[in-house]
Amino acid sequence: MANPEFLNFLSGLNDGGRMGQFYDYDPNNPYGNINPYRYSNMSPEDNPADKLLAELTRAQLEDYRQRFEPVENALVGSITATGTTQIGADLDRTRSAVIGSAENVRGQSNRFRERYGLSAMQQTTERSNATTGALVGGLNATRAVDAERRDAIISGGLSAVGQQTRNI
Amino acid sequence: MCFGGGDADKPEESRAKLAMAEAAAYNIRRYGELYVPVENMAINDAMTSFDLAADGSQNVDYQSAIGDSVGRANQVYGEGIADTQALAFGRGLDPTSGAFMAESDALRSAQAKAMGEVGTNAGNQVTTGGFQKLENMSALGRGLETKAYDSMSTVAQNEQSALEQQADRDFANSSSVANIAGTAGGIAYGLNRNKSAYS
Repeated sequence: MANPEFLNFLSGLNDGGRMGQFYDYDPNNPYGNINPYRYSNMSPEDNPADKLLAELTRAQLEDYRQRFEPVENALVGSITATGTTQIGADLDRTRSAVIGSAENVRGQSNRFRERYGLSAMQQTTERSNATTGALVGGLNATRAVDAERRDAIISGGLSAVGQQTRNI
Repeated sequence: MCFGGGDADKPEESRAKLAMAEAAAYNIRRYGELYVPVENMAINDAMTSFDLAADGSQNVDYQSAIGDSVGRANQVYGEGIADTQALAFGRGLDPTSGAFMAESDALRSAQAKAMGEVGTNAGNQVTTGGFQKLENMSALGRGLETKAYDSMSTVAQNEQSALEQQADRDFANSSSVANIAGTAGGIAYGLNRNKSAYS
């Protein structure tokens, strides 16, 4: 049966925070605690190179976990069934761009008409339809782009990561 | 000769292996000092791609990309329409005539559509750029090859090119004012494009 103290030690290694403390992890210089010559005077029988390489491997893993895992989590977490989590914000921006532009241009047109003593343009069905058409086109294009983005993340970046992981 | 018991000699590591391990440790320390701070800036940039500004408005990437694109579309169409109108008036066209108003209305609709389209595209491209940044940082962490992604200036150039092509089509299709005023409208737009700082 495994020694409980050893199991406790192992569970400490599996905890990102505690492991970070164990190695005194500094995200701005995660390898600052590595001393290349720490084992230089150790007897070759005690495997100093293995000890140093093990330190490097642990430090690299910890660095990866601290700095890059959150990025991977954010990327994977952004994928939805139909696109990405950014679709709502993109659709809002599309509405704002199309409707805001229509209002802006109507204002310009009205100012032009006023210079010639004409009354301001009324909102006609034709103009309203043009704005609605532009809005629908913009929203559809935005949804299509978002779906493409999702596919690109899955088949591009993530597939490369998955392949690399399988090859380890 | 000794055939008795006792421990076998422990295998010794070679000095070369230790030297290689020390070199690896030195290099990784140097990487930590030199490149990690730069990588952290890129990671931070990627992780905040979609964050709102402190006041709750769109972040500056979206604001500048959408604002610049819409502003350029407004300028290209606005100047084109103004020049077209000025030339039409110069040829005695009544600005209050139905034909003139209908054509102006059509060009204004095209202007609004173009502004909405470039604004939409610019926003979508910023979002795509944000995901590309995240992908790149993920690849960097895995030691995979990273990809160059479009900068904001490239996004703006792409939008500008698409905008100019759309404006070319819209002004070419705007036939009635041009017909009434000869070919002045098309010429005016062409002149405007040539003098534009964005062309």
